[in-house]
Amino acid sequence: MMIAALLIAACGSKEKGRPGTGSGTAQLDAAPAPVDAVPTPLDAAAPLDAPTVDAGPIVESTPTTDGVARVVLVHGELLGSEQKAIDRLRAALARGRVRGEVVDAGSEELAVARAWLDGAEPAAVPALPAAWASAPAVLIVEVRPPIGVAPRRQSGGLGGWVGFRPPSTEPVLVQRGSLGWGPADDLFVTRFTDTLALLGAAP
Amino acid sequence: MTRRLVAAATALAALAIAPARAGWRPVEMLLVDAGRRDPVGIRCVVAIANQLREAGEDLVLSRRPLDKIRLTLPADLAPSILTWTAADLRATRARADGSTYDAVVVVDCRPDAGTVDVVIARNSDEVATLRLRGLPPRTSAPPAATIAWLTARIESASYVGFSP
Repeated sequence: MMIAALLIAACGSKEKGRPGTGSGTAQLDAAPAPVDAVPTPLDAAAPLDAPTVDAGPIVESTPTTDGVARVVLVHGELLGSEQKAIDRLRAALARGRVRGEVVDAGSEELAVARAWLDGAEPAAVPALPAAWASAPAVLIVEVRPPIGVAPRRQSGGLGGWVGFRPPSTEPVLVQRGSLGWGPADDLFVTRFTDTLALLGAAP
Repeated sequence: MTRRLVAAATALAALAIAPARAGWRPVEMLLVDAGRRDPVGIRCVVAIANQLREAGEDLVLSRRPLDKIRLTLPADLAPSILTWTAADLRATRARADGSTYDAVVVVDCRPDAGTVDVVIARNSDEVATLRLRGLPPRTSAPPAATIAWLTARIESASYVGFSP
């Protein structure tokens, strides 16, 4: 296991980058700052104002297919290995026990990601994007920017994760900081499916 | 010539069979229970410890309650462990023999409230944190699937920056 983990950590591919798979995605500045999170009860009936953020041009969120979990990726440029891993994930969620779809973050989704992953825990819990209304579970995952200089760039791996069970506005899961996971991880798809199952997306 | 080839093949086969142990050592982890120390919280941390031991064949695990390591922590730490930084936990990672734990994992597990907080300090300037809310409240440890989910993440986070 240790050797496998080390291989995973070391196996960033040296490759050219590709533009994102969709428009309007933006990379979070992934400086995992501490959060002030004394355990609080989940309060589904607490719609509060969304925080004011500078999310750049407004990008509409992709509509959700009814009853299907939603994986929202926050990313900038993707390396080829990252795109392939995402394609594997998309295929697995289309036919697997845990059904889901993979989309690029729209502006509202980016604002929610920033609210929970940047800086301190938000003073006001942001409202959920309308596109999430029919999703049983939503998982936002940050893909960190590549590291190194072309042509020897490597994947920066996955950063923060935020998981929701709509319509609750408080996330079930907030993960900050790297766990060392990236496209070379043999369990890349499993990392997502087991987390969607934790969020209640499994039948 | 043939004899040399056979000898070389035999040597290569022996190398392939022998486990590569040069420089090998297990991850040394300190698991700290920062919960309320009530029975249900203790059961949760014990379940995490047991799962880590089962899952991590390359892991040496020590377990302590928070009050046993309190003197290694800054006096003015916020109550929520999710605010703790790598610098806050640096002294906790240090051991009496001059070595350091590869990872210090602080857990505040409250199954009755449906919450789990975890902070993992490893060989990195950045801690990893996990914050779970809205889990079904229980009077016993969280379900095995939740414990497995947690320990997989704790274990991965502990390997970040690890050098055998």
